[in-house]
Amino acid sequence: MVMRPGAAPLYKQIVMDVLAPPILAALTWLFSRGWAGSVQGGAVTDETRGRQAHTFWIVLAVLYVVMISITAYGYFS
Amino acid sequence: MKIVASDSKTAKELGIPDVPMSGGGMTAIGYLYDAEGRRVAKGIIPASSTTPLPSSMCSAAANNNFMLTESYIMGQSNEELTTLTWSGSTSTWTRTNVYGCDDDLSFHQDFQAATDPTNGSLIQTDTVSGQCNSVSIPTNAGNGGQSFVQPQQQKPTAPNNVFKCAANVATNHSIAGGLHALGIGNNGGVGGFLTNTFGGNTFSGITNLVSTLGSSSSTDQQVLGQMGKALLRGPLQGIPGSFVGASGAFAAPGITSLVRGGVIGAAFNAANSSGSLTTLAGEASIVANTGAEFASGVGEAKFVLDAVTYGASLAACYAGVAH
Repeated sequence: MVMRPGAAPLYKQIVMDVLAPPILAALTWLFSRGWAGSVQGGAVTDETRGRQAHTFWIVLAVLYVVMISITAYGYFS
Repeated sequence: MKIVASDSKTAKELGIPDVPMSGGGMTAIGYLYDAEGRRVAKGIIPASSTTPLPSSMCSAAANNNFMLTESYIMGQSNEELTTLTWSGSTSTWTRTNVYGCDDDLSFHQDFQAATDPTNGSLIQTDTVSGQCNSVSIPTNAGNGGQSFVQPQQQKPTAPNNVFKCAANVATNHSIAGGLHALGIGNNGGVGGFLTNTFGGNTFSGITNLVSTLGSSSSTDQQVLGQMGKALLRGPLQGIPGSFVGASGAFAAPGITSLVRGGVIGAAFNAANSSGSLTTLAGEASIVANTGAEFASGVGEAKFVLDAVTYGASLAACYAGVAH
C-alpha cells in the first residue's frame, strides 16, 4: 500500500467513499428538482420526475465506482 | 539581551558537545532572548560548586562568562528556522526546520528536518504529532551546511480542509475551468463572474460559500461575491423552494430574478414561447418534450457532472492524488 503525501488514513478514505456518494446523489436530486421547478414552474411533468429518480441511482452508482477507483489508484498503485 | 532561564544539569547530561568545561562543578544553561522575547541563542555558564546557583550566574551575559553554544535564525513568523552550533567563534550549521504550511490550501503539514549524527542524513519529524516518521532523506554529499530538503514519504495526515481542496480541484475541471482554459471569462468583470457562476461547479460553490462565510479573514467583497453567485445559481442552490410562481415566472422579486431569468433565457434560447424546441435550422421541433423540459434536463445533466466531478475530487484529495 502506498501512502501519498497528504493522504488520509485508509479507513477515513473508506468511510468517505461510503458516505459521500449518497449525500452527493441526494443533493443532485434536490438540485435537479429545484432547477426543474425553476424552469418548468409549478407544473413539473411526470417524465421529469421519473428521469430525476433514475438520475439519482445512476449518479449514486457512478460516484461509488469513480471514488472507489480513485481510492484504489491512490493507495494501491 | 538577558538570561531568563537556567538549568542546573551539566552540559554533558544535556548533550552539548565540544564545549570547554571549567571547574567540573555545576554548569548552568543560559538562553538569550531578544527585545521581542524570542529565544535567539543558547549557551553555558561555566562552573559553580555551590547550590543553589549564585545570583551572579543569572546576571547579564557579559558578566558571567556565558559561552555561546547554539544560535537560532528566526523565520518570518518567528519560527525557529535554522540552528547554528558554536564552538568558540566558529559556527556550524546544525539543522534547518522546514515548514510546509500552505495557508491557501489550509494544509498544515509541518515537518522538521534534523541531521542524524550517525550517518549525516536528515531525519524527518512530524512536528504536529511530535512523532518521528523514521524517514531519512539523504543530504548532499559533504553538505557543509547546505542541504536541499525535499519532503518525500512524510507521515500521512488528512488535509485540514479537504473540502476546500476538492472545491478547487472540481472548479478547475468544471465547465468554467474549461472556458477559462480557452480564454473565456478570464478578464473578470461581469463576463468572468457569470462564467464562474454558471459554469463553475455547484458543489464547489456551496463549499466556497460556507468556507467564506465561516472564515474570519474573508473580506466583504469575497462574502458578497459568493452570496451573489449562490443567489444567481437558482432558488436555494436548486433545492426546491417557493420562489417560483404557478405560472412558471420567478416569484422572487427584485433584480436577482430579472438577472437570473435573463441568463436562463439566454442559455436556453432554444425554447420558444410556445414551449416547443427550435432546431438549429430555425424549424419547430416535433419532439414531445417542451422547451422547459429540455432546459430542466440540461440543468440536471450539469448537476450530475458537478456531483461526479466533486466526488472524484474529494476522493483524490483524501487519497493525496490531488492537492
